[in-house]
Amino acid sequence: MHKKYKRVFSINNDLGFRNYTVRDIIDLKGKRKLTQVRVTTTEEASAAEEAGIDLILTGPGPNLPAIRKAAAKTFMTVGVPFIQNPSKREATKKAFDIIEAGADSLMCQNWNLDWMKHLNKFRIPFQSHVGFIPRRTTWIGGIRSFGKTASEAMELYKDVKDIENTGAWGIEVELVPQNILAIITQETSLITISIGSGNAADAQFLFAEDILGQSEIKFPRHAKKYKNFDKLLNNLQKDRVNAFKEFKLDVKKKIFPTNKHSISIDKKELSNFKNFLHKNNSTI
Amino acid sequence: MLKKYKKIYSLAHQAGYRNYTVRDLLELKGKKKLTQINVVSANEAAAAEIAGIDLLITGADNLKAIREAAPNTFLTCGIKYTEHESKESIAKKCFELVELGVDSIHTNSWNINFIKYISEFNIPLQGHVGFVPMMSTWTGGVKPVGKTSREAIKIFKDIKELEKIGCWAVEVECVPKDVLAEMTQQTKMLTVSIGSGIKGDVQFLFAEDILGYHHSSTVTPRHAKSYCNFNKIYNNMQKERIDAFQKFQLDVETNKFPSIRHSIIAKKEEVNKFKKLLVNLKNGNK
Repeated sequence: MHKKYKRVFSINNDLGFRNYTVRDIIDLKGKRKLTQVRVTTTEEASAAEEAGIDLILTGPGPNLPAIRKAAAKTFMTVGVPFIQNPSKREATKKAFDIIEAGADSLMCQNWNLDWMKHLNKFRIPFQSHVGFIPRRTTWIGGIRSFGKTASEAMELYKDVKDIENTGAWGIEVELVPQNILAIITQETSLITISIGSGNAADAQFLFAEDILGQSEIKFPRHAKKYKNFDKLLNNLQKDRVNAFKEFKLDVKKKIFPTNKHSISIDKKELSNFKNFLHKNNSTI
Repeated sequence: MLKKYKKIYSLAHQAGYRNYTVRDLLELKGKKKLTQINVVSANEAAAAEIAGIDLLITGADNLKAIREAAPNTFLTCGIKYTEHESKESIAKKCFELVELGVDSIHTNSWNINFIKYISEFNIPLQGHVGFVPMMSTWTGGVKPVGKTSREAIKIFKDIKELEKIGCWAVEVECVPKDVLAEMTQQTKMLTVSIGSGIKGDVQFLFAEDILGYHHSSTVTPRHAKSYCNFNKIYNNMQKERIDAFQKFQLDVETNKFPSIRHSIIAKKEEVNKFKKLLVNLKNGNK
């Protein structure tokens, strides 16, 4: 086996192994295309690690420690929700909790830029988000691409530079024209992470559920489906129903349980027990 | 559609539909063999309801989702004794579960006085005798209980105690078939057999055993029957996940993804304008 992982101290001071440090990722800009996958389950996380996906993104939910364990050696970024943490102090506290759960980096989506600068003072690696940002769609008039005109592209460029100035290492760029992101990728020291923004970025990002064909929403145009998990999961549910039906029928027809599934008792012990029951009944 | 469910009020006074009331179940004793399944996920619960399984049992952790997934099936919920040090505490927990829509509570290895106390609220209770995993240190480990007349008599007394309290059912685990046959006749309660042979009023299995799905540490118990091999299916699905992620990785490394089809293109003139604006911006900054 080639040397795939390096020894690291995590940002909560745990000794372990990782595919990359944040320094490695920054040094790879322009040299190598990276992948990032957003996972929500331990199965997705361990599959991503085994497949050699470069970067994992996930949420701060209760299964974060299990996801970290399932993909212990992959550089993992975790979202820090700002809505539930409405001050610099609270957001920082939440960030620390997530770091203790094993995050290598944080996703500061929609964060106040001041808070991001504050986080950088702790030397904590984080990435952010520009272009089409789902929570901010009301400002751009709905679900659409962003940056198709020169003035929007300039706005985008300024957003990227603002985030670069906070000390972030990476930036998710969503639904931006390919030829605009190509220019921006050259103009920024940030690792650009494309989702629906073409192939000129430093990293390509997709949701595990889209890759697996297990989307709850209508399949996004920019994603590529490699499997049909919707169908697999439907079949699994049919298998469950059939198995339970067979069990019910077996019980109804007295096919289950057989002696093979049952425990026997010595004849003498049984008759002793029956004698006891008989006496017991006559005393009532 | 045949009239499968009847209108009921739940213990929390919610109007709804169920396959059985506790009264129906008691009246079915000796007339119909029933099934009970232990479920841990909403998918298992939904599948069990569609399959027409008579009774469901589950733990408190995922109860809300499970009740929603199988709203019309008689549902019993277990409570661990170690989480409740007083009868007041266990009553509070019972009320919470009742509010979430359970039809009955499983008392497992509770203090018998706690069981009596909860029965005073008329909450239907299912007890547990024979091999009780949490108390198996008293019966000598993972092995059948009731193979001697002495042990069988002890189980009989346990059953009579639960009956006296007013439990509607009792899970009888890993007890000899012939012993359960006697007991089923000797009690008004429904006997729920798991590994205790065919003479129980109810046959009980875990969904994971029926589906052939096990966490790495366990194997299918001798008394269970697997109707599917979910271990194999889950392993294959995991291979599919790995394969999909590997293909994505390769597509990116070889520049095959994303293609133009997956991308958005800005007009040339806008791109040129953008380039000029960038130059101006940089000159302005100098």
